[in-house]
Amino acid sequence: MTSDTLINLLEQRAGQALGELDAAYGVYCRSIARNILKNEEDAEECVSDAYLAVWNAIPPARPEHFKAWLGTIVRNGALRRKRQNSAVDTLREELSEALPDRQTVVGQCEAKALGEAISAFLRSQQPDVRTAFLRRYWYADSVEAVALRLGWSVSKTKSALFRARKKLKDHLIKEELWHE
Amino acid sequence: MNRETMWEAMEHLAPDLIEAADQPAVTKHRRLRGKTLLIAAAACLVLAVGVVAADALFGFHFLADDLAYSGGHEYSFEADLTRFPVEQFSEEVQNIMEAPDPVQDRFVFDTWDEVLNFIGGDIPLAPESNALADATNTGFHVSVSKDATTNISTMYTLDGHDIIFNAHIGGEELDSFRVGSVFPDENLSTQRIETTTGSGAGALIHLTTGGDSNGHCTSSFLREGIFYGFFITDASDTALMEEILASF
Repeated sequence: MTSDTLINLLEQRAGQALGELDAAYGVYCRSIARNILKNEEDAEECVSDAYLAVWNAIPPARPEHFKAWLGTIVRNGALRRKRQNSAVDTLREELSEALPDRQTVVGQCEAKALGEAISAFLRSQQPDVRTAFLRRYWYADSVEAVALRLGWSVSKTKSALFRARKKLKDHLIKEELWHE
Repeated sequence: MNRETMWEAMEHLAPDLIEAADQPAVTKHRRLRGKTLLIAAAACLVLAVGVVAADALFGFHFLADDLAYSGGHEYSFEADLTRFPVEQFSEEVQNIMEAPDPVQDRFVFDTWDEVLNFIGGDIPLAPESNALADATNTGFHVSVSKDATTNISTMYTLDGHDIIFNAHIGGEELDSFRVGSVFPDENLSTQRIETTTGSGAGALIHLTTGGDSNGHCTSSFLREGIFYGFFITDASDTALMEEILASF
């Protein structure tokens, strides 16, 4: 089922819409939730909450990129549930290496603007590096899972992520979004 | 801005990038023979040719077997994989195998049933382990090599452990299939346990402990001529591995 068809079902408040949503995107949603929450029960509740949020949001919302939109709902919900989770803290710590301590962003750059800058940076990277970065820091995949997906060794994956974080830092400094 | 804002910025990435990162990997002209073992590369190495086969157990012919070697530990074996005729695979796999110049040989599936459908009903792939059903968080990565093996790999998460799974189906022109491990660390100790799966196939478990990590555990078994291997990345005993094997 295409996302357009699914959105049409949701707009019609069709009873089978949530079932079709789960059939089409259940594996995707649970993967994101499990990666972050590391707990089956919490992940299932998180996905259920996301489905409810989708039901409430459509209509009036009609997201152009339905899959990414849905993934963002699941991801944000999982992060809210797991604010103190050590796995999330590890990811935050790793990602923030691009921004060493005692650095501040000039001009109170909002997260949205920074997100756009990171997107531009990622578009300039090799596709595999881009995928590795997103799988690790957006989908919260383990390093081993990223390696598996890309057919890389774990050490190569760690190295690529390290270089990407360093390049990101340089990019943000060059764009004057961050300076020491 | 602080680190929290940086993390929050990830919520505002372009949606097309997010969706693209979830697309199945597609690789052109890429021979993945052996590469689906990459995650387990630290522990499972396809070893060099030239070692004389010695003892055989459960369909595995040991090429090197020195678990007590001072300064390192090594074992390797050649597995008696069945060479399945190309006709036994699904039409889709046959098309890939028979193409003079394959353009795609790597796929990702969400479920084991999808893998079974893709491989074809005449290949006696085992049902998915009950213990691991629905526990994959990477999907099933399948690579089709024209003249060697069709490999399936995935990572499961169970009870907080990452578990890497590999299955190898021999093709008509497979030469040999070798698996083994070398640990050049004198602080490590490797123990071999012989056991059986739930369906009665003989299985080898290797538990490596010592050093700075919590240790890891591998297992290998043949079932109806297909190789299956597991690698638990953080294990101090064999309990979880035995539970998994019992469900095969």
